[in-house]
Formats: sequence, structure tokens, C-alpha cells
Amino acid sequence: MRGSMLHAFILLVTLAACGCASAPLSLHAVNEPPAKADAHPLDGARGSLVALVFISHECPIANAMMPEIVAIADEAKARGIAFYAVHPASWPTDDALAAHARDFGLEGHIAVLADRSKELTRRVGATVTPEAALLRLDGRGGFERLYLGRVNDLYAAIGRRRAGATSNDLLDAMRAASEGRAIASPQPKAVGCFIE
Amino acid sequence: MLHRAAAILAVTVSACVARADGGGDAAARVFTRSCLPCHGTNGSAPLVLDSAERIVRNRRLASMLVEDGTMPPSIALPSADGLVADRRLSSEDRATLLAALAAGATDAFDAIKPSTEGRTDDRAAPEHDAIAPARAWTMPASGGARVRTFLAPNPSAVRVRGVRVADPGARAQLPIRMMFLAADPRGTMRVLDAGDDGDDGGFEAMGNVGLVPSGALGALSIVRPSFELPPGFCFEVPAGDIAIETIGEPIGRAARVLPRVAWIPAGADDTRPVRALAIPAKSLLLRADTCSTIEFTHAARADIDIVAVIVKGGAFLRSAEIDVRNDVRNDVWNNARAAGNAAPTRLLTVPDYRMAFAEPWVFTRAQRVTAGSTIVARLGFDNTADNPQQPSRPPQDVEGGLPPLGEDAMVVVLYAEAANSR
Repeated sequence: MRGSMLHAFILLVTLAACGCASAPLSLHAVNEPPAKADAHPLDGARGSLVALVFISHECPIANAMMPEIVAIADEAKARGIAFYAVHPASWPTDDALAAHARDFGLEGHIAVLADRSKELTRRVGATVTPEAALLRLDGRGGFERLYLGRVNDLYAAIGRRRAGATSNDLLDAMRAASEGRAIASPQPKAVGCFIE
Repeated sequence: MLHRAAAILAVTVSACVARADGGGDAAARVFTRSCLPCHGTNGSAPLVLDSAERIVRNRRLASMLVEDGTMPPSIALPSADGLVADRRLSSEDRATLLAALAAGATDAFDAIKPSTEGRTDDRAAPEHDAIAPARAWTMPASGGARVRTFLAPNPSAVRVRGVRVADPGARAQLPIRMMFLAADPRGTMRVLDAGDDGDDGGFEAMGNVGLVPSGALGALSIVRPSFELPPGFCFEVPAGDIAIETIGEPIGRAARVLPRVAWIPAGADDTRPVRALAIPAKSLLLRADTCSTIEFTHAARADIDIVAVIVKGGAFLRSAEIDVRNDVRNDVWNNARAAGNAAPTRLLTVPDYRMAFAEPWVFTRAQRVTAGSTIVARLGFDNTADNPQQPSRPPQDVEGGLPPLGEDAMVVVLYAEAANSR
């Protein structure tokens, strides 16, 4: 059942980033999405909001932020914002990513996608993990990028971790966008592991 | 004549081949020597780089950190005469590594040697040799650094040269950033252990045993999973409890913390017992929005040889300097004026302290401090919004206490009495 579900979510989505035509996008769902209808990150209604957090199961900084990412995903759901974790890597197996989702508490909270070709990652512009993007969909597979940057400031640099984040940049951006306000800081630099 | 020409040609060709091989493997050799001990399969670093593919996958991060000097981590500057073991790369090695990372080809790192070969530090200690608490503690998935002290039985008195992580490859140890050891032969801390929360192992307190500071039997960290005194020195460890103070950081999922260590036996010539001298920052108060430098001192009453220094600090500690001021010898009052003019001897400088990369700093040779001299520890604190590890917005006043919101700053000096060497 699980295997068939996974294969059912091998998606081919045509994107038009910021209104530009683009090549087909290959995404692979590696866990049971909380809501089946949310499995297509860019296949939403015009004006709807989608949050993507790019993560890596090998990156300690991305892993350290998982509890915060899960909490943000829960608030996103309450605000009607679709939320996905995206692995921009070709090498991890589905089993490894599914195990990671279980270990770090993503199950039941966040749909996890493998972006093996990194097409989605490139189009959104993410360069490190963890890094978050907030998109407003145009209803035709394209989007306007409202936010790209850090999830929060838990890490000021490699080896410089705070006791807790003092700014919740992604959450603030989501709240602002969903309430029709301008995002105060739309591109705060993310600290983490580079997407190669 | 012909034979001679052939011989010269053969030597020249073999030399060229050797150079070519050397050049091809140079990056792998640097990586094996300087990076793999921590980033290998059983290494202590959170990011595993144990194959050419993994290295290349993380080449941009690796390049950035090697280029800016963050890696290999070596946050203490050695004194002018090279007193502290220094793992910083030479400019040549750095260039070699950066060139290979920039090229991004796996061939340059195919020859890295797994760190499990030939390094005792990376092998698990036999179960009967491990000093381990009976029960683990579960660290929560998120939050700040946490201090937890465990008690582990040491069945018999031993003379050791040092201590190491017993099972460095165990994922259970991943949250632990540092460990500080002290002997508790009378079991005075058991009351704390019994009184703490429920069935979890350990208790939330520092591992100081009375006046004996945690770290008196050495310390371990992510960058130094094995701590060894210089040749000739030893710890005399009594039978009884060993207090193991751990500082850990959450890793994003609940994780079992069970500090297990193993002694490194002393040799027949390692006979000079090492003791600990604690220089604590008493009544610490760091006002919000201020930077401050606190100087505290200890006057040596006898000649001692310092073999290692441990600097303990949290999110607010930004720098440390340890000097010896050769004030006076045998006549405090008459030489006091001269003392003020004497240039201090710098033992250690940590210009940019990061707890994540802290370690016990062991001197390559013991540092003699004569009676009447003063050991001066100067710690710089930053409780402003500019502190990249500032946990509060806006900054709040901080007092001495447990991390993450308190600051426990202490310098532990490991020394042997000089009379023993005479």
C-alpha cells in the first residue's frame, strides 16, 4: 500500500516560474503527505500560498531546525498555506529520506518531496539547506516568489548556535503574506549546507 | 656511458612519477590527516565526509570553511614558541585542499583512508574498559545547550595518561559537545543523582566535586575526542565515582545521551601526578547591552608546571587570554614594583571563542610557573545584540548559572608540582 502510494506521487508538473515558461518538473514524494491534495506544490489555485523548506538529511544545521520547521508547518496549515519539505539531492534513497522524516518528526505534519533533478530548487533559487521560500501561485503552474531565506536565526554561522531563535523570519513572512501585509525582510541570508 | 645515461633517465623518470603520484594524492593526504579524524565514519563531527563522493557533495561548504579558517577548528592561537598543539593547515596544504575542492572531481579524494585504520581513538573500547553511567538521559529535540552530569563507577584506582570517548561512532553521543571529568571517591554527588528527575540518568548541575573542578581529570570535545597529557605526566584516579559533566546541544530529534569514556593507561615513565587549579569567575554579572572583560588571578605558591588549560564558557564568552605574570620570587613586598613592569608570558589566546569548537588545550611542553608568579585569566564577554549567539532579544542581564541563559565561566589549569621533576 505504502509503495503504491509513493509511486502514485511521482509527479510531472509543468512550471512557469514568475510567469516564464519552463521545462517539466520531476518531483518524488517520499512520505505519506498529510493531505493528498497538497502533493503538487505548484498546482494550486491562483493567489494561494505555498511554503517550501529545502532540507538535507545529511546537514546537521537543517536537522537541528526540524522541530521549528514542524511547528511552522503546523501554523501554515492553520493559515491555509501549503507546506512542503524538499530534498534537493539525487543520491539519497527513498528509504533514507522516509526514515529521516520519521526520525525527525515530519510524519503527519509535512509532505516530503525529493527533487532529484533539482529543477524546483533552481527555479525557486534556493542555494543552501535549510532555506525557505514562500510563493504565491498564479494558478497556471507559475508563481511569484515572496520570500527566500533562512527559517530563523538559530544559527548565526557554522558553530555558532543560539539557545533559541530570536527571529522567526519564515513565520513572520507567512503571517504577513496571509494577512495581506508586506514582508518586512524578504531575503534574509540562510546559513547551512550548500546545495551542490 | 650508455648505462650511465640509462640510469640517469631511469632516476629522472621515477622521480617524475613520484611527483605526479604525490601531487595526485596530495589533497587526499591533507584531508586524511587534517579532516578525516573528525569527519570519518566514526568521527565526532556532525557532518560525515568519509568518501570522495561525500566530500565533493559538500565541496562548497568545505571550501568556505577551509578558506575562512573555521576548519580545521583551532580556535586557540599558539604562543610565539608554539606551545599549544595547533591543527591549522599550512598555507601549502590549504592551497592544495582548496584547489582540489574547487576542481570538484572525486579522483582527488579517492585515496582518502578511512579513519578506522590505525587510530585507536576511533575504535570502540572493550565493554569492560568503559567508564559509563548506568542510565542515559534523553535530550529534547530543540532548545539551547544543556548541562547534565552523570556518575560512573571507576572500580579500582588507576594511573592514567588521559581519557577518550569509548565509542566515538555511537550516534547516541552526537548531542554531546564537551565532557569534563572529576573524581568523586566519596560519592558526595550521589544525593544529586538520586534527587533529580525520575528515571532519567544524570542530573542538571555542574560536575564540580566540592573544590575539585570538573575537568580535573581532563576533558573531551567534538574536536578532541581523546585527551592525553604530555609524556611523563599522569592522573592518579581513585576508585569510586567519576563525575562526567556533559554539555550538549539538541540535534533536532530527541536523543539519548550516555557519556562513555575509557582511560588511556599511563606508561612506566608517566609518573608526575597532575592536579587541577580552578579559577572561577565569581559573582558573574553581565549587564545587558554591554561588553565586559573580567580579569581574575591566582598566585602560585610553589613552582608548578602547567600542562593544559581548559576554558569553560557559554554563549556570552567571546575571548580568553591566559598569562603568567612573573611578579616576584620569594619576596613579595620588595619586588612588587618590579612586578608591575614585568612583561607577562602569554600561555594561551582564544580570540574568538566558540563552544562548539572548544577543547582542552594541551601544551606541547609543560610551562613552568615559579612561586610568587600570578596566573592571570582575562575573559571577554559580549552581552549585546551583536553577539551572534545572543539568546535574548533584547539582551537581558545575565548572571552566573547553567546554560543556555546563564553563564558559567571558569578556567581550569592542570599542573604538576615542579618539585617532582627535580
